[in-house]
Amino acid sequence: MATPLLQVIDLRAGYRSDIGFVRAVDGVSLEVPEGGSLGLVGESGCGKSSVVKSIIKVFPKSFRIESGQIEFRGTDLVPLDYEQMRHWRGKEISLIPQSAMNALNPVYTVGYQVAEVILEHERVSRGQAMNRVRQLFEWVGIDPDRTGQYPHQFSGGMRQRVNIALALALEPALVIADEPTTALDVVVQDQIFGKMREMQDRTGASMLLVTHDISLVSENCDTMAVMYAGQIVEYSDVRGVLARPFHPYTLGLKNAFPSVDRSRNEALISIPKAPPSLLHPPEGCRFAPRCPFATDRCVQEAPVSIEVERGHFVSCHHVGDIDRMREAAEKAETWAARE
Amino acid sequence: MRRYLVNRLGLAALTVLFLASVMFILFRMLPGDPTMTVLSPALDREVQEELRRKFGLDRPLIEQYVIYMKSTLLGDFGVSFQHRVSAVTVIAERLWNTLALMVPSLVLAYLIGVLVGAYIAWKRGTKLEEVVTVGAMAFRSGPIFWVAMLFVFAFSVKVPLFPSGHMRTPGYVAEGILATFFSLDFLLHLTLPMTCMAIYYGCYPLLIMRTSMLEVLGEDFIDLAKAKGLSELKVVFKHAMRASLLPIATSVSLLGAYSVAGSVLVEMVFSWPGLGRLMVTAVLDSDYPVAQGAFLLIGVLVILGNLLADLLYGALDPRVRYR
Amino acid sequence: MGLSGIIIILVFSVVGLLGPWFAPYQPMERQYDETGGLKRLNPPSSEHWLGTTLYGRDILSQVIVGTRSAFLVGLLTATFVAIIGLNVGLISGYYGGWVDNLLMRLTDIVGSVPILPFAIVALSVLTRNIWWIIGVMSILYWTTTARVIRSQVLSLRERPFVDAARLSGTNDLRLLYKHIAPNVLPQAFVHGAFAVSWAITTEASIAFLGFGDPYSISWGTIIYDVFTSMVMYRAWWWFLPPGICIMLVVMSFYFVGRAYEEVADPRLRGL
Repeated sequence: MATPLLQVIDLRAGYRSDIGFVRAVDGVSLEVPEGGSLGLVGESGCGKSSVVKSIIKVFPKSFRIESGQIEFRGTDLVPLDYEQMRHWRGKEISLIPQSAMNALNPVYTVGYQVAEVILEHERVSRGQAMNRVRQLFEWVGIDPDRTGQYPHQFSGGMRQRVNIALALALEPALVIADEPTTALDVVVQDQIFGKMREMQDRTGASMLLVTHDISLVSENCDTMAVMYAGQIVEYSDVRGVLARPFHPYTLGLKNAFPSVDRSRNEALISIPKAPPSLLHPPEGCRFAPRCPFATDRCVQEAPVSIEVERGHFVSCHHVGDIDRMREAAEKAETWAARE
Repeated sequence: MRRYLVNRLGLAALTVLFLASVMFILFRMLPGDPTMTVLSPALDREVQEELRRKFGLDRPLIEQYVIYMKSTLLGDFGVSFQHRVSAVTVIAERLWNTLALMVPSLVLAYLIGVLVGAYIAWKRGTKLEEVVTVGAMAFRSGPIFWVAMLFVFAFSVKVPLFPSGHMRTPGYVAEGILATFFSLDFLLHLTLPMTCMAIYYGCYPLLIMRTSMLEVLGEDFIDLAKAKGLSELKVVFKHAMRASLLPIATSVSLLGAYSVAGSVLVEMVFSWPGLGRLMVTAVLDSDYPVAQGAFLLIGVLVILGNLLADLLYGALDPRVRYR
Repeated sequence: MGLSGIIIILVFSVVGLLGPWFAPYQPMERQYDETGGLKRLNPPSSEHWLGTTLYGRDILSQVIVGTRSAFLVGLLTATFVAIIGLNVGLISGYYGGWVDNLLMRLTDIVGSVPILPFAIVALSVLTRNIWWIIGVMSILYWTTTARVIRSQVLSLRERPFVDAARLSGTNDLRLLYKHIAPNVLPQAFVHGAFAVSWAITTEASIAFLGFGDPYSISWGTIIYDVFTSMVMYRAWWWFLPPGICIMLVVMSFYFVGRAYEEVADPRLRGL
């Protein structure tokens, strides 16, 4: 198999806080193939944004990558310093940020800020860069005459389009989209993803989509990694995970999103309680406190990753019992019992 | 934007009127003959008569007030008791001296303050940042006249690098603007007071900039700027600094008021022949026309400074410019 | 940081309160040595820890007595400034409309008056005593406080607890002072701390220019004496101590104000 574009190998990273070290990323491994898309799914606080921060290596002083490798086209990004990372940022690896509202500097025009990334990495004139910006704007659906306006003059959705134009300006090999459409309505969401797919088809770029919305992943990605409490609990191609989920958490997630594979009359089932503290993570399986199928073994012993099908990995002790679990997960009472 | 300007101008005009009126009232409160504020036995008889007529000193108070306001707005403050020429002449001369000191000092103060403040915010957590921050706080806590005296002591007395006062060496006769303000002699005399004021007043924007930058550096758009692959220098000085400038702009008017007071004090310490020193000596000598005029001019300077600051703010914040 | 500020203030307060009893000499008394000669400009020695002035007076005693004056001026002015600023801000912010407009125009105008020059002119007309000095300073310095309080009141006005109080029938004035005022008090306190610093500095500046109270000794008047005697650069022990005292006290009130502000606003802690 060809070398994947991006390979994260056993990454461990976290924040230093007043009360100790919070390991937001605890042994995460994933791959983004050339020309493909990986969806990283999980609820808020599971550590997926920390994975993004670690790849781009833009994080606050309190954050630290402890160990692991992040191989991008063969080069390990972890030991690189700021100056060395600059070579990749914006050009080979770009980011579509989570917060549309605050991602742009309020004192510069939008046109200038997008042109900036072009001018930083390519030897073109100001005029040429601005032409390209106008083209980009038109492509993402913004009136090209608005390049001279300021961020506060745009709505949230339009600002996010600017962010996308910015991220795709240099046609990077890897686009990391961190909850790109959370604040936007579904129509705009569809349009935006449409544009991204267009670009991917044209340039052969890869995408790492980070979101809590499993349905988005099902529509736009090839492979999916499910993250919980700092760890990857299930990993496979999207068809595999959705058609034949193995991890109880994935089963729970599927229930929470109506558009994936469900009949319309059934009520939404949610997973009770909350994820564990990453300051002092439990010894055993981290999902055990919320899992309807947990046994003593689950609480005491942390599960390892098992390949249940080709290319489909799960971290659970009870994969053998999967048929019963799948059936039980469809019923609301199973989950209610854990409240 | 235009309405904003007009508003501010109107307010400025009102303030000037207010100041002038307060002066009028204050001086009428002096014990003794109220005409004392305009006339003085030091002046010639004919001059006194003319002034009596011009300012309507034998007319009712209201009329005197009106005449007073009219002449003030036209710049006529009467005749100086000390110098025997029209007060305006004396004042106008000194005005340039003060401006020649204040303007470079404040410009320098802001340059130093903004750049150093941005730099130490970037280097937060280092020894340098701590030292500079505490140092700036301590430095600006001492009263400026005392700090000025320290400067003279250190750089003029103990280590004779600069002259200890005045604007030029006695006996030096300057011909015209060029010789007055651009000669080496002038620059030598300017250095110490200017540096003193620049460093002292620079502490305000320094600390404000530092706080503002620390806030801005935590914003999302800074992360994105880094993600674009920009160099650290560009991120700090092009993005963070520019976005942090707003509080600085609002501080300009505050600093303007402080530095006017400061310049009075600095002029005294350095015997700099400026407006502030003129006002103080005039008050001490009971030369009321000059004291009044000098004070009003100082007031006008402060108001103009505030106006400029408001304009600056409007120019810096695109949210004000484009509603 | 705030802690060091408080410690310094405490030390100075003690000196200010009890100092005059412990001062080795009378501050205005001329000191003579054994031979009957006036002890002019003596550098620091074991009898006179900070030396003597040109007129033979003990500097340490003067500095100690000056502490009292500094605190008096500082705290009183700050109190008046806080009271005026607080009330103007509260009334202006709460009632809005023409009251707000009028008060804000007034604030703008008063705020445009250059304080030091005005003080000098005013004091030459009035008598030069410590009470007039405090008065002139207070009547002009409250503008920043008023503005800040007003903006706080504006945002507080929209909060649910205000509606709740109104519904229960509280009349406006009571609402303003019993419910809203306590919420803005912290800001008033912060500004009060800064006002103390400003007042001490400004009083010293006024004294330095020769307009201080001739009957009281303050750090500013000591520096005035040094400066007018024209021997300041020969007698470093005379002009350094009062300045250092001003610097320390001003700095500590500033620290206290900032520390309090920081507690209220965690963003400044750099997290």
